[in-house]
Formats: sequence, structure tokens, C-alpha cells
Amino acid sequence: MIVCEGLCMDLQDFHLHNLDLRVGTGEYCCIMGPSGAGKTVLLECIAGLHRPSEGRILIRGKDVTAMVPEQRRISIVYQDYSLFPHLTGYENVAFGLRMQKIDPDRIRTDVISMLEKFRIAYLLDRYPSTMSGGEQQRVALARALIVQPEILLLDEAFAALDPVSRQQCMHDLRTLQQSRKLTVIHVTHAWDEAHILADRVAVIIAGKFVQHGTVQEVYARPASESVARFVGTDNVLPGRIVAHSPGLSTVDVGGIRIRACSDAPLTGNVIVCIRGAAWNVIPVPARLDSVNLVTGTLRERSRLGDLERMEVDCGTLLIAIARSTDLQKQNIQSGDPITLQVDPSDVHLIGEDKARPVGNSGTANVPGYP
Amino acid sequence: MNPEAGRSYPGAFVGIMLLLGSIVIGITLLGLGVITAAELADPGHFLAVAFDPAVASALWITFSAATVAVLLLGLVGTSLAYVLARSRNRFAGIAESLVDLPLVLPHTVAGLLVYLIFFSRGPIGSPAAGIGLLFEDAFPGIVAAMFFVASPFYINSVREGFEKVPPHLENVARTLGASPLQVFLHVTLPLSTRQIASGAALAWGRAVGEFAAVVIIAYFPMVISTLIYSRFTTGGLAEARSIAFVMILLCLCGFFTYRALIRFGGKRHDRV
Repeated sequence: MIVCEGLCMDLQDFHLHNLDLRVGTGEYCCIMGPSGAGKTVLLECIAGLHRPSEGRILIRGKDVTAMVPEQRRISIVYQDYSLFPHLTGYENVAFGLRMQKIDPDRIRTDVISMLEKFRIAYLLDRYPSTMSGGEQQRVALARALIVQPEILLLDEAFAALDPVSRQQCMHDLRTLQQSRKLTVIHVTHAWDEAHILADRVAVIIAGKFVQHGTVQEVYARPASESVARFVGTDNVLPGRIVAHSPGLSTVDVGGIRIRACSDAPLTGNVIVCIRGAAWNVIPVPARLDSVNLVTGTLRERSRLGDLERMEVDCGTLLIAIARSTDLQKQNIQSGDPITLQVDPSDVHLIGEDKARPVGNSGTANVPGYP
Repeated sequence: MNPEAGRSYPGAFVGIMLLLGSIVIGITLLGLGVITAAELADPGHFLAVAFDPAVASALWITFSAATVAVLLLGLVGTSLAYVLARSRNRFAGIAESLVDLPLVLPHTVAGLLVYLIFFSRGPIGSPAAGIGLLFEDAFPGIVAAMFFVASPFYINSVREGFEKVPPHLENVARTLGASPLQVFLHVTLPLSTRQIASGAALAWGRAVGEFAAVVIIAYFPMVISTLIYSRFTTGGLAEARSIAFVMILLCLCGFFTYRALIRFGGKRHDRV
């Protein structure tokens, strides 16, 4: 459907380097990355608002790199929704049809129908300044979709919404996208949005795509240390491979031996990634035959709703997340000894080049694993 | 209930600022008071001057030339203001400095520049004379001088207005199928109406008040400033003062009307 090939672009402080992206028809692709990574510039390139210095953009096989935005049939919704403040809700939604000089009677019919579909018919005569964030977002989506775009671009379009409106808007958008088989490219920081909405994720850091894949793949198996930190992996630790057997590597992390499922034989230094929630708090006495048992001292606890974030000093500082009720049952307080355990399949290793993903191969038939 | 409740405490700092700031208003009010008192002391003389055909003619020439100058600025100045608002290169910086040049030039120098361009052997005056358009001691010369000195007031105000229109709005409009001209007409221009009107009023006021630049290229037909100066040097203070009072009354009426219109018409643009 849409293909970006070798896109390069320099725009003030933003630089895109040789970006390749393929998004299929009806696919929902999230582009994720830290602030300043070039996500919005990329969207604007796709929309035709900036001309790339190198590379090309194809839509349904047709090169549109030189095509002006008004001919591309790509709509964009920004984080601030960018409603025209001097126009009413009706006039905002009708704007695209008016520019295309559609018959006024048809415009009225289409706009009313669209407003009803988004349950915002009551916003017909209201100006954007009198609308809530959720209402503005619906008007912006209605305005973007009424022109029947082939591709919808969303630039952090849910970031400014309250949690309830956000959930509702995400649900509505996903339903609409699936029913229309709409191709969506959505720039976001929020992993929960990607989990709910995205078929695929592309991570962009410093103007380069550093990883593509499903949300689960990128979340569980970051391809580099920078991706691991971006996806919020709690423990990103330097380690050294000390032993390798088929499907299992043993890593020394600051004196702790941790086993990880890994397909590729690794040697030398690696980055060890473990999500905080992957640690289990083991009641003492622990099962001696368990792998990846780590004993340390609980330094600090902080509440995360029903969960607790713990800093555990085992020579190396580890971050673990556990249910508050589990900790209460075991009566563990700050300063107490604590034993943690992690499944080798939840330990992800990144090779020394920090770019090559070294994936886990699952949990089946791993020697030594109970 | 304390009637002062909800009001902020003025404090000594605000008081000092108010005192210093009131000097500006005070000088203007003092001038207006002095001239009003003098004119009210001899209403017969004031009315005779107010209905003098030469005064009426000078007022008509002044206001119409200023209006033509502002209309021309609206045509070419708006385009330049848009380009400057959307450009981020060093040439834009140079162009902005050139736009501001009339602000820092002595008005006689501005007048000389206008004269050198528009007199009958100047680069524009010469070909214009070929088609019968004369600038020296003619209405077009007055318009040219007013256009030159008023241009920074209009262009800077309109540029600020365009800069306040978020580029995202224009981007969205483009993706919805609007051409660059449609975006300008339907999004950028309506959202800058207040700054355009404000710039036009400032430029018009500046044009109406111009003397030195105008007098160099066109002593005749007399604009009101030239007439006041002429009467001051030939007829004395009383005659010049009465014409000035007529001018003050007309300008105050004009600007109060303008502000009322802007307040009324600009309400919807406060949403930007």
C-alpha cells in the first residue's frame, strides 16, 4: 500500500536517515520513538508537506514523492487536533469537501451523517474553543475521514485526552479502521496505544528505524540497548557470556549468574534485558533446583497502583515489580533479604554490537528449567 | 461582604509603575487640554478655519492619499508579510531589515529616497512620466511618500498575524484538498484579520501624519501637515492651531470608530 524507500530529510533539528517503511492496505502501523526522533517529520513527508532530500514514497506502487499534499488522499490528525478556530464544528468537517467544490447539498448530507457516526451532531454550531478535548478529537477525525482518505496519519492524536475519552476514542478508531480497512500510520509514545491499536510497530530513534515487528516482539525482544530503554525495560544491564549450551546462555551480570534462552551462540559482552514484572518473589526457603535465583536486600519500595516497584541490591541493583498483596503475604520490608527468580525465556540478550536482536526461543525443553 | 474582595493588592511597585506610566498619558492630555481650551475661547475663529475650503481640500487629499497608500500596501505588503512569516532563511532576515529601514531613517531622508526614485528622471518616475503619471507635486507623489513611510507598520503587524497562525492548520488544510491559495484565503487570512486591520490602521495613521517625506516630493497639492506648517509660518500660531484642532477631532473620531469595529469584528478571532 505505502512504501517509503531510503527516505532522507534534514529539517532544522530533525534528520531522517535512509528510512524504509512498508505498510500494507488496512494495516495499523505505530511509529514509536522518543521526542525529537523525527516521527512527525516522517509523517509530514508521507503527507507531502515536506519533500525528502533523497528516497521516494510509493502509494499502491505509484511514486508520489513529487505529488502535492492535496492530491495524495492522505489525511493527518495532529496531537492538538488543529481544528480551524474560526469555523464551527460543521464548517470544520465540511472544509475538505468545500475545497473540492462538492455540491453543497451533498456536503450537508455527508457532514451530518459523519457527525452522527461520531456521535457529535450536537457540535454542529459550536466553535472548537467551546469543545472538550475528546469532542475536538472526534471532530478532527470526522474532518479527516470525510474526504475518504486512503491513508490516515495520526500524530500523537490521543496524547492530550483524559483516560476515559482516550480509551473510548481508541476503541472507536480501531472499530472504524477495521470496518473501513483503513491504512493508518500512528505516531505515539504510548505503549498501551500500540498494544490496543497496532498490527505492527516501527521504532525510530535519532532519525533511523531501529526495529520493526509486532508490538509483542518489540516489547519483549528489543533489538538494541536504546530500544530496550525506550520500551521501558526496567533492567538493562551489561553482562558477559560465560557459558553456552544449545538454546541457553549463561551470563555474568556483576557477579550474578543469569541464564537466558537464546538461539544464537553469543560470546563476549552482551546487554541483559529483564522486565521488572518478569521477576518472581520467591518465598524462603527457595527451591534449590530453580534457575536464576538471585538473593539480595530490598532497598526501596514504591507504589505503582496495585503493584510495587522494588530496588533490590544483589551487588548489582535490580528492579523488580510485584503485586503488593504478594509482598504483604511474605511480610517483606525494606532492608529485608529477598529472593527473586526469573524465567530464562524472560531474559533477553542483545549482542555487543547493540543492534542485532538475539531472540528468546521460548521455554520448551530448556535443560535445568523446572 | 467586603466590596474589595477579589481585587488584587496594588502594592507599591504597581503604584510607582502607574505614576511613571501616567506621564505619557499626562503629556498627551495636557496638550489636548491646552489646544481645546484655546479653541473654545474663540469658537468663531475655529469654525471659520474648520469650514475653510483650503482646509477641507487638504483633509480630503490627506485622507484619500493615505487610504490609497494603505490599499496598495494591502496588495503588496500582505504578500511580503506572508513570505517573511513563513521563511526561516537569512534572506528573510535581510528583507526584514529592509522593511524596517523607513522606521530608522530621518523622514527627510525617506523623502529624498522617494524623490530620487519617483522624480521625473528617477528609475520609476521616468517611465511613469512616459505614460503621463507624474509624481512631483502631484497626488501620486504624496501616495508614494506615504506608502514608503507607512510600509513597516503594516508589514510588521501583518507578519506577526501570519506567524500566529499555526503551520499545522495550513498543513491539515492542504491534506484536506486545499491548494496553497485556498489555504491562504480560507485559513491564514481569516485568522489574521485582526492584525491586518491593526496594521492598516497604524499605517494609515502614520501616512496621515507624514510631513517631511511628503513635502520633499509634493509640496502641492497640500496635505494637512503641509498646510498647518504653511499657515504656522505665514498666518501664525492661532491659524495653525485651529487646523490642528480640526485634525485632532477627526483623528480621534476615526480611531474610536476603528477600535469599536475591531472589538466587534475581532471577537471570533480571539479563539485562535
